[in-house]
Amino acid sequence: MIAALAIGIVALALLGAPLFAVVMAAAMLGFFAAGVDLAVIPIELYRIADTPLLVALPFFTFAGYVMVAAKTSERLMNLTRALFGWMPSGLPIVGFVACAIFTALTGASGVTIVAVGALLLPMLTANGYSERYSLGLVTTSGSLGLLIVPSVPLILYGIVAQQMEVGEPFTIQQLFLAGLLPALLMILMLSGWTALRHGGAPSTPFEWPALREAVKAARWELPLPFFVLGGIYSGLFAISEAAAMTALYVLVAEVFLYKEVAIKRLAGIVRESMVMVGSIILILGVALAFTNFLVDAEVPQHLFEFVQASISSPLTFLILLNIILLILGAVLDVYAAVIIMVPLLLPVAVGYGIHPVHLGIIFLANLQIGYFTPPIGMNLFIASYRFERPVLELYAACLPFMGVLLIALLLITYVPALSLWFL
Amino acid sequence: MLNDVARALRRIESGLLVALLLAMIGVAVYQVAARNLFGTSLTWGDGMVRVALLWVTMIGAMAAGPAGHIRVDVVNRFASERVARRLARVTNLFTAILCFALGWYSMTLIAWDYADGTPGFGPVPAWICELVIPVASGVMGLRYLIASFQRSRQGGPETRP
Repeated sequence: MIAALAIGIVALALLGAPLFAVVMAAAMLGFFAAGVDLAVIPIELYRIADTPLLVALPFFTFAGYVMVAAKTSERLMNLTRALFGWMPSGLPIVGFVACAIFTALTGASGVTIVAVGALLLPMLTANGYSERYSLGLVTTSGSLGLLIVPSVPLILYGIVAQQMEVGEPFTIQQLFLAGLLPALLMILMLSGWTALRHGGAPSTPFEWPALREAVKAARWELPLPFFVLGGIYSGLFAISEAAAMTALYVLVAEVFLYKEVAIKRLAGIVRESMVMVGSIILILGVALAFTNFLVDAEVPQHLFEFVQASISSPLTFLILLNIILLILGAVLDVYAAVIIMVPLLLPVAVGYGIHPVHLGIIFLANLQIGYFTPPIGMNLFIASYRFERPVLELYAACLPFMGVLLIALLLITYVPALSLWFL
Repeated sequence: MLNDVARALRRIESGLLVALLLAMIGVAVYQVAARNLFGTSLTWGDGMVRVALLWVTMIGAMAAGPAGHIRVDVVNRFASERVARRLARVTNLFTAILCFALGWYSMTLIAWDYADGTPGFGPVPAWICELVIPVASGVMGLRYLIASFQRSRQGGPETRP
């Protein structure tokens, strides 16, 4: 009976039932079978109010949505162009860097494709890059930057992993540091490949006046990264407080200094961003209950024993992990994937001696690629919708980029030092 | 009539979300400033911000509406219009039942915390902080129930923002 219900729940998940309902059903079924009062579900849900770090999510998300509503993407493009446009294949490099930064600021919700990609695509084709290459760039770069602070999925991984209390303890600050080199590696490899393949000419010569102009235009936004990171690493404020300062700062900058976001629009922006936050944290809340059931039932331990019976080397395990995560990344939203899969996979990975921080970087690097993995990666559909191209054309355009990023992924996976150099 | 109720509800949701988020930002920033400048901060401040997060979560989830929640969009994307609509009925009904179940069991929790006088933050008892759970899940349950009777295809927008 219980088994039949469990299969029913999985089937409903595949048929498109909201994930919060699916996870809640699984938790209820598990606790019911174990004879626990189901009031445990709201009790666990209330733990949302007991997790200080979680407060950072609405703040960073809101700040990201405000920047999307303003002309931040345009200023960011101009600034990166003035800084990197002179390099060989300058424009694609500008694209990679701008997309990565914008995604880090706004989360991998596909908004980068709409906000930055839409500016970038006509520039690329006008500079002589093929349509196919340009489409591939804007589609795949829509999730580049997932590993760069203050990316919300990175924070979410930290919260979920810390709840588990397995493996080496770590701080969110360490997780932020760990993502930097792998993200840089991806950008460098994409740029290098582009330069080799296209031997691209610089798009714009370097000019001081242009840079001065771009810096001046971005003057209210430029201090943001320094003061947020400075605050976090100097210990002056906690991450949730840095997030609150960011939200306030961005609000003041875009509404009162740049005057690009009318006060009238704020209610709509708050609503949109909090709908996203609510739907993510609700899944997290019910997943806390489900994870508790799993741990009580010793599921991660059994899973580890099961996996270890057939796979003895960490290397083989990592390959398997990459394959599973790539598929998951294509099917699941990054937030849901982190919330649901980390509790299952982290104890197994720790059993193979993998550091939780390293696992987090592997996890997100995979999901980043999963976002444009055919046939159903979300970026593909967003780009298809935004640029009015058939999805099949985008599959082909993304493949070479995917190849480069898969090589980067292998390096990130098998060279732990890239993520853990400071530990 | 039903449309008027829906519109009023939408306005209440938006108003509450704005008020809660601004209060959270205000209190959190005040805490940093007060701690670093005067060496003190509000004793109930951090607790209030965290409870406000629970409220934002529940009200945000409620405002997402039946189509706005994260789901696995595999079958639906390739299904025909007719099949997709039928599937939506089933999954919406399933979700409605779960929302009502959450609402029901959260009432149990509230009754316990009311009887025990469990503290929430500052002078506010826990049961008041918890009230948002049955209210929001009840509204969500009703919306999913209504959606399960309507002829609509599930699936959210192509991009989230």
